[in-house]
Amino acid sequence: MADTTAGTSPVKKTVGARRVLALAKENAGLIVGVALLVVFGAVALFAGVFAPYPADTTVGDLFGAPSAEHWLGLDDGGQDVFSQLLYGTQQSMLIGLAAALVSGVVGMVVGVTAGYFGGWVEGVLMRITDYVIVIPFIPLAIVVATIHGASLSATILIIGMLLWANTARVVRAPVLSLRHRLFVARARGMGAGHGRVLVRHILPQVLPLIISSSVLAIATAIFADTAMSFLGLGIPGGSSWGQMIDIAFRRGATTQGAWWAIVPPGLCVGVVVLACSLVGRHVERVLNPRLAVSYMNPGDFTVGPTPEPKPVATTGKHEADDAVLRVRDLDVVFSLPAGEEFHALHSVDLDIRRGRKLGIVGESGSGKTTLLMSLLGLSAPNATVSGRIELGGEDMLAGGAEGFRKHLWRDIAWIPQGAMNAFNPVRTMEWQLVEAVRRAGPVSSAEAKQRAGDLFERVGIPRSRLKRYPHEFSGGMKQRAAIAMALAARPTILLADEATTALDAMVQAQILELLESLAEEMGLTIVFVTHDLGLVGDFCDEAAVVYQGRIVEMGSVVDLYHRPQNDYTRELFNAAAWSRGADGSTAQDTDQDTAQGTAPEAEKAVQ
Amino acid sequence: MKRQHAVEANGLSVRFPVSRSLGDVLRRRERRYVRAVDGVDLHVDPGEILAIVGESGSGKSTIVKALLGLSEIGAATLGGDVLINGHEVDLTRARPVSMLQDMQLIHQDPYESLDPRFRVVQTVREALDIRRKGSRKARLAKAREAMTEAHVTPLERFEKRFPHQLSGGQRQRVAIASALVSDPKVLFADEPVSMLDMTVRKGVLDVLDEQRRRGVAIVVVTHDLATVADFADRIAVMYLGRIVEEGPAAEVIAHPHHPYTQALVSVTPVPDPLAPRERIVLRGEVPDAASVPSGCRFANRCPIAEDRCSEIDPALTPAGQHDHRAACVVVEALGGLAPHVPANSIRHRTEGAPA
Repeated sequence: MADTTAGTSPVKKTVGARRVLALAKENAGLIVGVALLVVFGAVALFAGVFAPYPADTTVGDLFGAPSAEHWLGLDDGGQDVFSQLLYGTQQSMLIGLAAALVSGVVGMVVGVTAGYFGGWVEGVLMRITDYVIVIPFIPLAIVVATIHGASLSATILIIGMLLWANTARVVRAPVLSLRHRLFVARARGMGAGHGRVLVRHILPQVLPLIISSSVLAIATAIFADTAMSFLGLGIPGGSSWGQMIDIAFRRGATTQGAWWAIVPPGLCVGVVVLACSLVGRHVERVLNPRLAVSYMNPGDFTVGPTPEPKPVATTGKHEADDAVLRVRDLDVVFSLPAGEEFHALHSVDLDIRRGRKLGIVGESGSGKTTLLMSLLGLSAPNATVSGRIELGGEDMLAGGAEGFRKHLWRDIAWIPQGAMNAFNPVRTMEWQLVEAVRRAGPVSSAEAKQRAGDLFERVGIPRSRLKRYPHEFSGGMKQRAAIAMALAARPTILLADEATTALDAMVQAQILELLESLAEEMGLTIVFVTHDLGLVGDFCDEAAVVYQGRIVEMGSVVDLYHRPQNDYTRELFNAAAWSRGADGSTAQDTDQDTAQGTAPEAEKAVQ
Repeated sequence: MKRQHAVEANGLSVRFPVSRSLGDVLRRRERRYVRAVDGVDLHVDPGEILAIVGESGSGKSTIVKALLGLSEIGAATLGGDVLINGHEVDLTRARPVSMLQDMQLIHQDPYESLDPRFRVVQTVREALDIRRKGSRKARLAKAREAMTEAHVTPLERFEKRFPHQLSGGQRQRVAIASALVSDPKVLFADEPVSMLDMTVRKGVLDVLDEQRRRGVAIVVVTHDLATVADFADRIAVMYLGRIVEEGPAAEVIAHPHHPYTQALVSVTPVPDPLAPRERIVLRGEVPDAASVPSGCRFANRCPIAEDRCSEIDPALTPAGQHDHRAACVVVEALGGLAPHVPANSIRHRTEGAPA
């Protein structure tokens, strides 16, 4: 069944209290931030209810110390500081929210318009934005306050008009790329007007960004109001936290040691700023999962317990004695948010035999890429890898990521998917190849260059092209160069991840021919990770079929094609050819996607 | 009686200007053009699938963009006559809305062509929503009908889903449903299954085939001969902006005449490891379309090129049987027989191959 929430799902869900706990732990910052904002919001709304004393009324001695009746003491006018603080919250929050709203709306309109329409519209709007960003805040405040007179609306407007520029810039960038996205082009192609495209397709994509930027603007606005008040540019007769600090300061609270008149409003400003940035940053993190550091350092995976070697008799599997790379009981489990786990590989056994060409075949989400990455010791940090991965009898996995590092490139090299597009664009090919050659060990510069040239010629690129830059190479040439780089440290095993998928048929044939001749000459063992059955039948000697995290069948390609033992293998090879039914009927099974029912989840887990 | 073609193009050409450097301007060097499509005749009938096959840079996708009048083609100079359902098309203007409805495009990448924040039913209904056609209820009914046709069923299960909750095959069927909701007469599909897993490709191709049987004309653009060998009715093979061979799909695959087609067929991977492989692996790369060689544009890579090939620019002439044509002087000289192109990479695997 295609339903991804089916019972067969390899994602282990956690339930009940454990799940709540795990979620709370991951989102602690957000929870604290939101809770603080809710508290301040409630205080602002119900200041009159909570305050023990009415506003602006003398209820005791000037600068009276904190006591049971006056928790935070009294201020310069003999007013209750705690009550004044609550009324101050009302005004400060109002300024913060209103200014953030102004800046959010203006910033959104400017950013989206500039990004979507581009051209001169963008030029004009963004130059204005640039100017606004460099306007110094304090002088502007002084000028406006002098001309217009300080008031609540003036304060909100000044702050709002200074903050929108930031939002506009933040919003413009994603809109710029969104307008070129296919689904936008498609809507335009169907005759949708700009208004519809903007409101239905573009805005929903950038709204979280605007919200996050506006929440941060609340903090900035409150901070700005405090600064303005302290400079005497605040609202006359106002009661915001900034005003409280300013008045207490001017009336000599510091000389009288009345810290209680200054510290509480100052703390409030600090706490609200903290709460806003906690919420703002978190919204941003949810928006852009790539900010999570965990994906920055592949190779920092966890090594699980090594299982007891299974006695050969019980596995019933043939132990190849010429295996250069031997995998036993390999399990890979990814830990996901909210304490969930994704079991990507289940006790995988694999013998990669010397000088052979092995295909690892599977569909997206099957686990073939997870398998490849664990062979290289490059599993993601949220992965727990257990089992044994032996290279010439040495269990590399026992040494963790470090155990793989000394073998990577020198014994096992790989051509990553899309390697041809991963060259450094500002360096010559020679520079990049020399760097790769030196991975094998220290060599002189001249020797390394000589070897880089040899490698180029070996993969069929004239030596003269070494001084060229990547953009001067065609796709096929870049793929040849990627192979040359992988071979630079004279490895014995070459892992190729979809190495020909993006290439045209003829270029693919050229590359396969090259790999075949390299395998023969250098005695290379080649592992081909691919979803292309044609490629496997054409190129590989043996293949392992990966399905839902298990190797369901392994053997010679002739056996797999002509005598498949497993239903999935049969389905896979049958699917390679479409033919029009004799009666023209193509009976439909709507749950066609059975085979990869779990794919969306799996993709999410490993990407 | 001659049927009216759903799409007919005669002498279609698309040229993109190459921007000149300051030096070129000062030296009054003439502006060069990339001849992406260079005089192509083609037609598709209702209820027929035409596959346009070629490598990247052959101009196959540009043809579709030119026919649909997509904006990416903006800077190009277009030439030729195009008829859609018998109506003449002004290539330089945006297509009228009624014509746009009749021609729908299915993109290669179903991960990109669906708005990630739209539910399936919203995506499918969008074309109707834009035109505000009928009541909301009628639109929903029409969308459900299209979803059923594209086998995005059961409706209740899929309607409310977001794209990220679907597999690749399901997404592509949703994209097809959103095209079918306009009752198109011509469907263009740009590599409709190349990004999908093997086991889900069939489901997508089946949906297209059902539309063919209901009389829709379908143009599939692909670089993958294997996919369209049994799927298409006719195949047109493109090389550097020209159609070099054209004919019934089975004929073209079984008896390729043009040396380029022969090479292309020979290198198409075959899953059966025991199938004899006699590959013609061409050397070098497709030349730049800004400097098309004189004479036959395939001559410099052709294994059987003769001296006159670099002088004569061949036109499509009858080859083999059944309305099959190739543009090659050698084929023409042989009176329509296929020339022998020697294989340069031969392998015959047997059962007893080293295990």
